Amino acid sequence: MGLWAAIVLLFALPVVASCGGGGEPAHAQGGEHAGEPSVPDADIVIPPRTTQLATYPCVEQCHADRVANPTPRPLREFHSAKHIEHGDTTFWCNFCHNFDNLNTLHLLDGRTATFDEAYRLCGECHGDKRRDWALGIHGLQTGFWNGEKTRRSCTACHDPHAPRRPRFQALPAPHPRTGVQ
Amino acid sequence: MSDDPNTSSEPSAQELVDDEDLATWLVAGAEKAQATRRNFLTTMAGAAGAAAIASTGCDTRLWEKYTQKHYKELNAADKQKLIARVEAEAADRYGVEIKVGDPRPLPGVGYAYALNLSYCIGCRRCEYACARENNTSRDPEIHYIRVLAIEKGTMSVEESESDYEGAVPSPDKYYMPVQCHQCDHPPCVRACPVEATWKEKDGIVVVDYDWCIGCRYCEAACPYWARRFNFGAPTIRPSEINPVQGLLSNRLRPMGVIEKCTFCLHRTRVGRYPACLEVCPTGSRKFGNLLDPNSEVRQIIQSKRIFVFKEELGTIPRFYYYFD
Repeated sequence: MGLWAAIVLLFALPVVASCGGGGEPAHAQGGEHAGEPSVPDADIVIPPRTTQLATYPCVEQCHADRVANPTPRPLREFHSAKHIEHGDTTFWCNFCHNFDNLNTLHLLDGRTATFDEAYRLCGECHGDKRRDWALGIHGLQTGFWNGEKTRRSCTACHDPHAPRRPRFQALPAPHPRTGVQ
Repeated sequence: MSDDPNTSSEPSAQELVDDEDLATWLVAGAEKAQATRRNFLTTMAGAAGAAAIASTGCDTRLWEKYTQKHYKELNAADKQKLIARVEAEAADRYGVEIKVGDPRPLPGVGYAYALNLSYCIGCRRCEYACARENNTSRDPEIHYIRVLAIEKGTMSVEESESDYEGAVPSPDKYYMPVQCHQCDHPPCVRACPVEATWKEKDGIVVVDYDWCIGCRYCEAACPYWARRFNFGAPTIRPSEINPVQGLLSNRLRPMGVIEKCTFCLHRTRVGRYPACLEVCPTGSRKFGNLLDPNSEVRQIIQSKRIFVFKEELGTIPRFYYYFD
């Protein structure tokens, strides 16, 4: 019996140790980007989102005394124009918005992200796009190929509440002159 | 019969024609024909030049135009002269002040382009941004980029259409923009009889608009239909002219020369992205240095399933397509 216990312990110990070891650094670093793909380089500028939002900061403008209701329901009074066409009707506001501080978004593990850092939140589900974006191969980048560039965050192109982009009119086909005129 | 022309029975021109002036002219012509062809051409060119000097007033410019050397033979002073002439011509023809530069290839740089066919929606924004940037003719309309709408589930370029209209993307189509692929084995360069087009060190195939004779062999040789010919002098509103111009790229072209996409070398050789990339609303266009392992195109080549158009022709394009 003692021998078996020793064998079990021998196998179990490294597993426990490795679990602890694996979890520890992420918390120990405590950095905002721990466990996430690399953050953009120094010469990459991401235009801020918060300056473009009419109702930001949400807490100061409305939600200082108005408590957000986490129950899914049709919105009639406020935000009535918002249609969530994302996540196949399983999403509600608090899936992304942090109801403890509505000026921020919350990630799956409880950490928060600002509206300017939406890519951290989006990347939790769309990891492939997040990795490509970090490499500069998803989404529009302008500026200098060998220097400072402007990289758009996810929400610059995609409406987070309805990310599928609408169809729009193509510009007319060119008309090369045909025949003698 | 005697061989001596003096005793020949044939009547002379003087005898045949009654009009004395005409006879004199014919005799003079016969004497001139005996001169060598080179002398004749020199005389004519001189006469034409003299006539131009007398009639137009833009004397030195026209003379410079006719005696313009190949781009590769120009020294710094010649180039300055050429740039001054191009700027003066733009002022004359369109009344605009332009700034012509001549950026040369950057050391250690080879350009490449990658295009994501999964994202392209065929909106043609790139075509029009290109036309604006590169000062191409508006009527007839010259676009360097041609967007093909291809049936989903096929790769049939033969059945594609480039004149689609309306809302995009069509649910049963995908879109493939085609422009100059800046091939490493460019068939157009080999077709040119006067070496007016060549490949530069950074991979860009350029045209010397002053040397091009307008034979359009290169246009026929290009398997990507990437070259365009100026059948007329390009028409473009002065207000729409892009004043930042490159000698080998977007400077205002004369009639009768070929032109093509140059990866916007007046932009890219100073580090900027091409115009078609910056306007793309989907971000499907990627551009960078093929020799830099961290560049965007290299990341794409390493992580995506890329393909090149008409690979079997061995043109080795620098333009990569991919789906993801």
